[in-house]
Amino acid sequence: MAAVQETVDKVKTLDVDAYKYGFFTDIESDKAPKGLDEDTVRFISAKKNEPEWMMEWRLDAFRRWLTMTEPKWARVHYPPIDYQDLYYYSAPKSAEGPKSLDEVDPELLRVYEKLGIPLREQELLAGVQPDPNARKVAVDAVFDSVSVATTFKAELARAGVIFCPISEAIQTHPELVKKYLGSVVPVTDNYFATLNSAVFSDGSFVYVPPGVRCPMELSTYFRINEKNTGQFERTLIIADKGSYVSYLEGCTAPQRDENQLHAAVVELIAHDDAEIKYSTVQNWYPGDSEGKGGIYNFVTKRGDCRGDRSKISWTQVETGSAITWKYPSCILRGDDSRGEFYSIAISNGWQQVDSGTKMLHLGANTSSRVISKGIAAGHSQNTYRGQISAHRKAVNARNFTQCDSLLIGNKCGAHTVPYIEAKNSSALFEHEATTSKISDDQLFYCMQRGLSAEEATALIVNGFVRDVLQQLPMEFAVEAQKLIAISLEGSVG
Amino acid sequence: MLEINNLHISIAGKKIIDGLSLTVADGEVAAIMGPNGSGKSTLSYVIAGRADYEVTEGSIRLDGVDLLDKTPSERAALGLFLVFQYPLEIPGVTTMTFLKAALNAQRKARNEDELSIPDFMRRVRGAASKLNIPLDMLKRPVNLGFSGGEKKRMEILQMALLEPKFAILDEMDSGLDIDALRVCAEGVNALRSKDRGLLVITHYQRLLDYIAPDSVHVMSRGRIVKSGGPELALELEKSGYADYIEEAA
Amino acid sequence: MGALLQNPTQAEQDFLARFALEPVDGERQAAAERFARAGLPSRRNEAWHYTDLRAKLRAAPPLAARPDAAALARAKQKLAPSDRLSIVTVDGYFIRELSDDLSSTPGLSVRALKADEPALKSLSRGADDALLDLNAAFAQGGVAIEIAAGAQVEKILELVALDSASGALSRFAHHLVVLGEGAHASLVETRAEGAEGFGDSALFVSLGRGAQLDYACRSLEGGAVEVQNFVARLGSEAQLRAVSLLAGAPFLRRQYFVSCDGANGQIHLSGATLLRGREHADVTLTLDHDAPACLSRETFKYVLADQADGVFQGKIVVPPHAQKTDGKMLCRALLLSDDAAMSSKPELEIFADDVACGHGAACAKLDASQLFYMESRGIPRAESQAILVEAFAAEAFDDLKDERLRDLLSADLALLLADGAFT
Repeated sequence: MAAVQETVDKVKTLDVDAYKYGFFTDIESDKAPKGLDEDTVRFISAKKNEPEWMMEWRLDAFRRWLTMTEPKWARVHYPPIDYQDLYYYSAPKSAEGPKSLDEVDPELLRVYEKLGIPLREQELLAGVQPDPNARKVAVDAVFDSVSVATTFKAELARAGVIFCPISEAIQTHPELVKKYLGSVVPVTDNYFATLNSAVFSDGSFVYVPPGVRCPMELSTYFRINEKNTGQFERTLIIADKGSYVSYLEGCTAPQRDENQLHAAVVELIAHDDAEIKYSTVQNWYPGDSEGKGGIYNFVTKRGDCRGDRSKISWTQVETGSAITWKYPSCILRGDDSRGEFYSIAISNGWQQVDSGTKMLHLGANTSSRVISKGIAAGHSQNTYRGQISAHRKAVNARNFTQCDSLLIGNKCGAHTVPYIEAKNSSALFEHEATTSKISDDQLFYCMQRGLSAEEATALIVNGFVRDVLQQLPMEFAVEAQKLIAISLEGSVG
Repeated sequence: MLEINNLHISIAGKKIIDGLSLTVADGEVAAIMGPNGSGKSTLSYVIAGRADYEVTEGSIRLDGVDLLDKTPSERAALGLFLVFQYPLEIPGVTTMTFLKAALNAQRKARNEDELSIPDFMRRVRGAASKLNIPLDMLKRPVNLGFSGGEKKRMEILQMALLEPKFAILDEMDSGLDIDALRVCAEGVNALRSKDRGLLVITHYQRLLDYIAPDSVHVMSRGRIVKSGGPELALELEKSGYADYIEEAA
Repeated sequence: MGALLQNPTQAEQDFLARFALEPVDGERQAAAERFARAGLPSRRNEAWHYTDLRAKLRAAPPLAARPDAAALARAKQKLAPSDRLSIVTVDGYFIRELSDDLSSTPGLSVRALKADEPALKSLSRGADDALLDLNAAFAQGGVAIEIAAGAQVEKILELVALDSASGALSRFAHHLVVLGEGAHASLVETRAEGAEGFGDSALFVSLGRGAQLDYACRSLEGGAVEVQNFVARLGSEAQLRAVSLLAGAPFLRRQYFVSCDGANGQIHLSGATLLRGREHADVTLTLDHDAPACLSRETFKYVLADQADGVFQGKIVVPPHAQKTDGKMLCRALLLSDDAAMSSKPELEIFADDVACGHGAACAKLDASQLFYMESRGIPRAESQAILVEAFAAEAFDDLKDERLRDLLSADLALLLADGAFT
């Protein structure tokens, strides 16, 4: 339990306001003017030297967006967002982008260090020769919207894997982008996805060719840095027939007084026999002890199991953001395809989490599994919202859902809202949900063995979420375990 | 040495312990016997520091250190160990993780270095084999799905690893068949030493056949009503508690 | 009034016209105004997502008037003798002359419900629903059944809802059942209002401290479009066991608004719903654990044949002060046909930390290996299926303490299954 101990020590030096990653990095940036109109969309497109078709695609989305109204949610409350008071583009200042890691602004490397990016990856970013025996992780670091460094490119290229900023893919692989962009999350899918389609700044693009097992985990660190910068990441991952890829995403953000909007779109496509594993650790600024500030995280993530026997697995650890609105989903289109969703959602302070998944069973013999662990503390509200549906042709559709909530204190709320829709007699759906608390007896037992109240809570909570932690790649699991303890700091009294 | 002096305890205004005094020296094995509802389990919880009990008067000292203003984990770090009558289940936390967390938390509180993993494993293996606990069992979540006997053996394993200065055994025999009782009692006997005091709380004489006490105290209505040697337990076995209940009233 | 609603449907216009025609006052007026603002619920209302009443109810049939002598004569023919204490309504109006004389039953009072009975509003406080509003605006002529504190009514009370067989009508019934402190009673509601028209009925139940009510609803023929409301509040230590058997419903929504107002209450809500053809039935319940240490169990079973469409929505709400709440909800569906559909939404809304709440939902078809096992013992397939279906559905009746009510529902169930529509 060294990790927990270490975390608890670290936490002791902080209070709720002193968010671990709440520092401000002073790097000059290249911004679009505040506000949003067609010219802003053109500015973004021009900044990226995009071809005509891409600009038209954005403008089309923007025009659609103008006709849409912002959704209102039953349990999610926040002051209205002034979309004209945001910056829609901000890039670290550099003439043409760094050609090698040596050119990376040293300030950036210091940021990575504060972010807790594993040392090995920092070394990679700093150009240190990797140990050939070490497990490899390629990092496409997104720093305020623009990818500034990509590692392991050569090795990935040898395997035929394309892993690059999506802005680059638009230039170098337009046929792939044209074919797949918006094919899972249509331009008009929802208010925030449409906004993203109009103004997305950058994000990652991955293509794994047929039969290729991606030789390393792909990972991206997101970070919102520039004041008042809406973040509109766009990620597109395609696993062609019989391929496999594991993608890791983690993020932190500096402390802010104003709320920041984040509306990302992630699209995954798995062809016949392909598998995509997508893991997220989300740790954005949740707001201060009175609920001020913090990120609004309105994300659309969807995977399309397009091919037979394909598989998409989402794993998420959500600890940050003032508001999280996020339903990583799977469209199980191919016969025998499989979707998985493993989630830990922790809310403390005044955070509002509304998260869950959709498993849409369209093909025959499709199966899905949902394990959700929600932990509510402080004054937070934590909602699981999930939809499982089997269509007429989805014979032998199978779903198992387990959805557990843990409440710490009685000023918070934990809610479960599952929608289960079977239109097929051969479907077998099972759903179970429980709500419980950490019992005083359990705490006393642990404390009698020498653990402090805070350590005991962290230990019990880590036990509660173990089923999901096990789904994470090793290095992520360790980071996630630390985050869980940090997130619950101050919740036991 | 454990010293309890004129202890008064209430729960929600109801008096449970009523002026109890007791001293257990280093190396001594003291037994507290008493009928149901005499306050035996309350006493063990209060010594270990469980919340919800109101100590209105008196003191509890371990080796001269006042325990009453300490948290349960601080008391544990001072060397106090309680064998729970009903050990708790902690889903998702493996026994191995739990043991390591407890051991290192206590070492840290005493300004000792954390154990290295090989060192820790060596200790666990040694203690587990003595209690016939297969290592596979330690990979399962704490007490989850364990039988009554397995849970108690796990308590003794923790005691062996944490090497407390003073241990309280709260109704250790409850829920145990005769074979399980023998294994646990042997485990406890192996931990008897001249530096370590033990307080054995039990309803039945049976347990004392396996863990021979140096002194026996009869508890009724929240206080010690009679003290004596091992022969007192045998006497109780014959005559029952009826006399003492009246006496205390 | 009436201009508040945008693009009203024909049915909404019909209702609004009725308000204008026959001005009402007080609570009725307030309810009518709320309805005029909200209109009929549609898919867009989260609580009505699976039951689009606005789309289904094209026009509102004429309002049922107090039945005349001829109507009563027709209704009387449908009355079957029983050893239960019958309280008869026709088109929602309490008809004393068709009911048993209950004046001599100790502790029991059966009277006409007052026009502005204050209990109704107080019992439905906090329930925000357009159909309850519509009921409050139109319903009249109901019955109040009151059982005095400490009284135990031995015989089963039966509320028999008949229709006047005078064509498609809009029926708005409201009735009140009050059990005083420590009172015990068993109540059966037998609904037989024919298959025509539109119904929006409400049964209001108030249980005093320590009172116990066993209640069974037999709804085997429903109106073309029907909404049944069940509104109950429990005092401390009161116990409610309410079980429904729903079938023969072209388009039915049964809503429960139940609240524990005092500590240590116990609620069992269960039901079996059997649908065939193109029938649609929706059971939606909101259970407010508004006091500490209450227990609730909800068990709802669905058997769906042909193109039938089953809906279950259940919400358990536990506010911060309701510590030690123990709530468990279960919904299980058997799909007998590839064209049948089941939608369920079991919700938990928890604001207290020391609670044990959970829900489960499952849908599946009949277990093939069980069927095979039975067939291998010589039981023909159809019979095996009937046995399994019956056992599956009847489990919902187990919560009733009064065996006589259980037997009544079991007999109904056996009859339903006898014609082979559910095998």
